[in-house]
Amino acid sequence: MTQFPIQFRSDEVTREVAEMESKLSAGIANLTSMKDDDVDIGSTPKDVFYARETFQVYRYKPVVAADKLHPVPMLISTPLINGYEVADLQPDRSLVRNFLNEGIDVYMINWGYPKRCDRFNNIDDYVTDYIDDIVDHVIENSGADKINLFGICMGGTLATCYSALNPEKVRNLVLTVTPIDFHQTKVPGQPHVGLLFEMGRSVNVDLMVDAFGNVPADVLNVSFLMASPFTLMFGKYADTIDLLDNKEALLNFLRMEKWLFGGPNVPGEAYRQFVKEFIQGNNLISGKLSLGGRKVDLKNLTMPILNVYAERDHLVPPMSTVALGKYVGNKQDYLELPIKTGHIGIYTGGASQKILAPGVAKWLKEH
Amino acid sequence: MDWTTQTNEIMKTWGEAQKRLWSGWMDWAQGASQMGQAGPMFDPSQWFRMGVDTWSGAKDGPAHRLAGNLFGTPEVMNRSMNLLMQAWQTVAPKVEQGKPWQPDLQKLLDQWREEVSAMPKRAASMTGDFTQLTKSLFERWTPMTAPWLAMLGQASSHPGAAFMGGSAGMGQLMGFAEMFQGPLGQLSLGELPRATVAREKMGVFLKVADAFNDLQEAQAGYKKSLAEGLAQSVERTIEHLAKLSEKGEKVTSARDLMRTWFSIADKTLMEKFNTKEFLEVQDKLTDSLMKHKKAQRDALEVVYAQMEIPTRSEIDEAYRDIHELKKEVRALRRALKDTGPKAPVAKGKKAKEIEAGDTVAS
Repeated sequence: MTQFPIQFRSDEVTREVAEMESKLSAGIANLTSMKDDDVDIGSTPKDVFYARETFQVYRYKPVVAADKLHPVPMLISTPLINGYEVADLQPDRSLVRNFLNEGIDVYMINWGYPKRCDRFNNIDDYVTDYIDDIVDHVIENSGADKINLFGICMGGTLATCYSALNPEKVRNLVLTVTPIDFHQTKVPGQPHVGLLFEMGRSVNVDLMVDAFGNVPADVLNVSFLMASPFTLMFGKYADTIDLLDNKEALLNFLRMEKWLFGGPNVPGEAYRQFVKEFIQGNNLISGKLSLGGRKVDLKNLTMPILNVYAERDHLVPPMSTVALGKYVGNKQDYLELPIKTGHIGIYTGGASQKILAPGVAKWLKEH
Repeated sequence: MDWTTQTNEIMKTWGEAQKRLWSGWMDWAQGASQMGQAGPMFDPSQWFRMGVDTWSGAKDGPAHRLAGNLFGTPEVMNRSMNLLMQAWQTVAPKVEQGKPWQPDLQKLLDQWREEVSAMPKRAASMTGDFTQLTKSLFERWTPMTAPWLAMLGQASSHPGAAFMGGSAGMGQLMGFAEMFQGPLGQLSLGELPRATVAREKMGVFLKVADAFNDLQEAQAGYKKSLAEGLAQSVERTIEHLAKLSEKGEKVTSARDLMRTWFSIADKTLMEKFNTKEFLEVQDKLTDSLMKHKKAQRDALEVVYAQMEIPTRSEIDEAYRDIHELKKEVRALRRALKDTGPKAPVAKGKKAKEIEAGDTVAS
């Protein structure tokens, strides 16, 4: 006879629920002993090196002797849609700390929280004015003649544009989970892969920006949640019950929540331009993109490039990232580094801590 | 114990477990909120609602309720799980007997789909009530406009559009509906002369009503489409459970069953979300939300203008001017730098040291 497939009894369910309630109680006790400030992210010691309008640039305190410091400073270009803290989420999961330990002189952009008055900032402003201004300051401060530019996701796309426009200022370009070909995003049989780009291709961005001004972070968060609604809105929190009685694990969970849902609103015109020219038009690879009145030609990418992607990335599918290899001007010095993880895990995952920063540092020392 | 009895027993215990689990979460969330913590941070049910609130700009608006009905409440979580369990209850006797169970499941899910499909009709009925309300309201607004507002009693669709002379309602207003058959029907009704000093301003307010109606319709369509995805998720989960029973495998804990459901539901919804049809429904909802928001803003601007308070459009114009001026200043500085003697790069704000744990305000 066929066996009944659901084999749990009332008493077992009662025990399971009692256990959960016990953990909930412990969790509440832990929470009452915490303040939101305890959920610290982006905590690696740093100085505000430069600040203008809504953004700040940090220089992180080196942890090696001056003579051991890598001579070329590294500027981390962050996305406009998330906080910079993804690269410095917690002390034991921090790309920044790992770079410092490798002797790299790290600068990072925090784009801040754009206000209504910033709604007319567009991608031209970010690439040809802000990033260029920041690079000039880093170059002058460091005494180097060029910088190493490291891009995070959308920040990588901005870094790519900047490098194509200003190759003389970029010694090496390192990209991580960076969308390049915005139409190479679908994987047969994996409907969750590239869903955000699929949605972005059909959205009426003019209407959205006209209605909102700046596009609220919560709107973007809903889009991210739609990639896995049950798991992300219920399953994740049900699983969290198991770590409620562990204060440190709970803190780490809350750090990720804080970063995920504490992101900035995106300046409306930057969002409009990004959706229209990159996601919908795919102008970066078609050669039709112009910023600041200058054509962004990927053939100008003649500097060495390390293109890092996450093999299980469903937000920015690997094929969108590695498409860059077809267009760069110097294919000899173009290298790809795959990491077996997801889009966020590449910065915060345990295994990635031993791969990303050491791998990048080793490559930089060779270039 | 036969399968029917076991299923009934599981239904009962499952319902209790779900209720206790999710109500526990809600208590926790509310407790955390009362303790001065960021409430939403601890409340998984709030995320979807928060997002839709933002989209709709209404804290207790229809989008909020929609979100709550679909994802946002533990009760709904229970409901979707109950549908799953009900489905299993329906098919269990047949699975046990080794008989085809799929027709019974299809029958149940067809009922579910029919019920959900009826929702847009009910929403349309609500819309009709709302339209009636706006008609009544504005008919009494001012005697001066009453003759023109009489059209609303006959307007078939949007009262706002009818007011502005942009729909067939104007023809009905004039009592010329029959006359407009034939060559006269080709006339552009929107070009008809306007009347009353308040007409333009009222039209702005009535467009909010139109946008609200459109939003209701779009939400109903979205809800229906999403419910179809959920029904398919239930179907696949039952198929999964039936396969487990055929292989002699079993689910031994409530949370494992929940995880199985989440996993299959997510995968199924992903496929749904990626279809052209769903994207169109979603885009229609998004557009309706945006248009509703814009219509609300336009109406507010009328009020602000009357009160001589700067409107958002006026402030945005100033922001745009400032943005353009800043760009010009930057271009001039760059040109000066390029042509003149090399000047030191202007420093930004004085650097300050930040210690670990400090929150850096932008």
